[in-house]
Amino acid sequence: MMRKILSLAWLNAVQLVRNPAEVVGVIVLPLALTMLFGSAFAAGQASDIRVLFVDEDDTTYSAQVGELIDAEESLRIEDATRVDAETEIAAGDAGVAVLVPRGFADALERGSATIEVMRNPNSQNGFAIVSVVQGIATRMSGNAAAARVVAATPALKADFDDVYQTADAKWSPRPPVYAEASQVVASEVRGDSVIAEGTTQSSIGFTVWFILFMTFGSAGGILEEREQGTLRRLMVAPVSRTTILTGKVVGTVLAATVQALILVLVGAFGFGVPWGNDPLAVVMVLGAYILAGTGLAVMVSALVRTRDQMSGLSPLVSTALAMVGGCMWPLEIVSPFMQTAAKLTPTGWAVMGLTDVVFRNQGVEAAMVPTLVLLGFAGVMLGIGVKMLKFE
Amino acid sequence: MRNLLTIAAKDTRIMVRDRAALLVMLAMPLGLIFILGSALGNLGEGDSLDAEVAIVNDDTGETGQRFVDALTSAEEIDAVFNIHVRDDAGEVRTEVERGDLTAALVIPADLTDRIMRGEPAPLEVLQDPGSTVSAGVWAAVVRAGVAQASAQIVAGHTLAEALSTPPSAGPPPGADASGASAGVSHGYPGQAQELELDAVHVSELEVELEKEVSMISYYAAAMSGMFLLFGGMFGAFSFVRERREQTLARMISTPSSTAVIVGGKALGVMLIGALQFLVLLVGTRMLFQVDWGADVLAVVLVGFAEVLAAAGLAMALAALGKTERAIGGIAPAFIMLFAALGGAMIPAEQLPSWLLPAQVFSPVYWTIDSFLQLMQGGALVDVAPNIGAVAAIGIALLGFGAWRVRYE
Repeated sequence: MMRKILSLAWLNAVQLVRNPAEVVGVIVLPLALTMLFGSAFAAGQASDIRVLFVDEDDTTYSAQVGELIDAEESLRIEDATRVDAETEIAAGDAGVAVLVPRGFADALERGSATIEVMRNPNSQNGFAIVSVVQGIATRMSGNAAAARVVAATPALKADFDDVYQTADAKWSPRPPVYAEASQVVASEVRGDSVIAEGTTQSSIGFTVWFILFMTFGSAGGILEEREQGTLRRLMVAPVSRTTILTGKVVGTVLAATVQALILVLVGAFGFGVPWGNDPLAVVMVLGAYILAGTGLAVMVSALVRTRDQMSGLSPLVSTALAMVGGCMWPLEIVSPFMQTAAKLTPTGWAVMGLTDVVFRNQGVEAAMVPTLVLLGFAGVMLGIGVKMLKFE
Repeated sequence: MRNLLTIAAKDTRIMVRDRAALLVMLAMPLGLIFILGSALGNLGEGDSLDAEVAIVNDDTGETGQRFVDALTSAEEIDAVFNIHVRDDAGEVRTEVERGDLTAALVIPADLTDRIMRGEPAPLEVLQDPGSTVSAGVWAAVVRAGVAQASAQIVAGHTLAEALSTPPSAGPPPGADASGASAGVSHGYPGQAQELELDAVHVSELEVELEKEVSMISYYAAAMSGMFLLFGGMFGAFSFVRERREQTLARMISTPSSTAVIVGGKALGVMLIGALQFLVLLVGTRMLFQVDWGADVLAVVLVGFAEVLAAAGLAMALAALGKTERAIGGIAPAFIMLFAALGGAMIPAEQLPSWLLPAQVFSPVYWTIDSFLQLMQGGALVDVAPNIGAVAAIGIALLGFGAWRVRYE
């Protein structure tokens, strides 16, 4: 019996390898997307956010505004005119513009200067950039407040500009009070920039998403065999229905395991994703998820009539589950309703489990609940699939 | 021509008869648009975060308490965060590690002392590594508070220095010289009294935006761009099946030329695509109130061009893949890459800049861009170049398919 199961699983592998296109689709595509989305979400690492800077005053003070924005790690200024800025923002081509109007330096000395910010309300980075500008305004206000008081005292014979520069020098190398942000991961503290969060999120998300492509593609092979009549031939051989199905399931699980292994290894070594924190916990969650994905694929195979339907349905079902489960964007940004919906999907539990295990390094203990839930999904869906699947 | 139409009609009939496949092609896109719209609908409104954060104040002086008061009393901060004031830093750290808290601020015991001694004083912001958004926003909020404190201290020290080394001393107007040496009164330690830090203020300018496109409308445009291409995959399936079942060989033996056969098959894909587009258009309009713009003709032409691209893709796929299974592997890969490049998954502007030149090869990119322009009030003239680009990609794919495809 065991030998029969293994030969059927082997057959599955051969069918798969004979289709290089399919292999490319389930391995190269997720890696390409990991890279794409990784750099899109990892703001400041791959691409700095462009801030349009309009300097109408052309003084050292107005220039300082631009320099301080540019010094911010994830921001990059691009000089523009007011008209350009307005057009680009209105059209949504740029998210934020910072404008220093004419007369800024004089107004600063009088204590009533203004930095203007123009932002497109749809821009996701707008909030962060406005707070950076607010910080710059605070710094300049502090310097100016001291400079004005001193300059207004004739006895001190001090110049506004000199005192301003003396005060400003106190901000470097470190301001008097500063915030040090760090991510706390069990038993270690990672610096702000050590970890490539964007890539980690995408690596987890796309691994989870594309495992479904693999299980669908592989389990769908049974429909192909049914259409070609080879399944009927198998039935006349002294092989039980259970053995055939077990062979198919084992084959699918093995194929998805190899795929997951490749995606995880490339993620770990190619993109620096901390997959290796706790291998056992990763194996638990991914293993249970592969079983759940296989169960889902067998269930869908039982519900459709032809291989074509299966091939058409699989990208749609897996994409929908990936979206709801948080494979494409962090769940923390979606509405509470959708956060609850994520808990009804195997993709959601896999992402939550892997977030605990990979991002937070919480180990086996944190992997327990997601693993059990995923095994539950696997049991129910595999049960329905096996019961409903027609062999002829 | 009659033969071409007959082949197209036959393919359409076969497709329409397959109720399940039809349902998938027509209903799934609407489902996904709904998911995307409701998942990301409130993106950009800061208050959608509602994250749990904590502050631990270990400072033995009074500066720490000032931070706590400032952070807990601001309404804007309260709208985004649920702030818990706690006293056990170790416990808070563990909760952040586990992800129970999104972030925390730990104020060190020697904060006030350090400021008094003129040493830079760090505040510790702890972030949950599993939170890629909210934790960063919390750090930004703390940094803003810290900048206020620093500005006060810098101003205080600068004043104190200037006043302690005057050529001829005398209390300057607006500053309480005695306070400078007396230390804390109601300002930060080492500083006279709290100065008004309003020399520079930030004002937000109203921008007259071009007509705004809601998130659900954006994804209606994006998903339409992507799903119309999936019609190409089903077209390729049909071609490969006919090749396997030898009905294609039979067609070749009739007086119909290969051009007529390819044309008929392509037209079949386009008819199904047109039906799909109609359902998407009417469905999104009725269910999600998506406003596709006033220029209906332009919207239809954009859809038509994308359907042509789908037909081209069908033939190219049939040329590249031998079996349905092979096509089932490559088709989603092609379509999803086109879609990702074109901004169907995340807005195209957020893609890395080195990748942007590759967008011109994605029919999805041109299609989404056209739909968005039309939704914002554009007209046919604005999107005509885009329509041309999509049609050109479609014709190129069709040409490649017709050239490379095997009929037996």
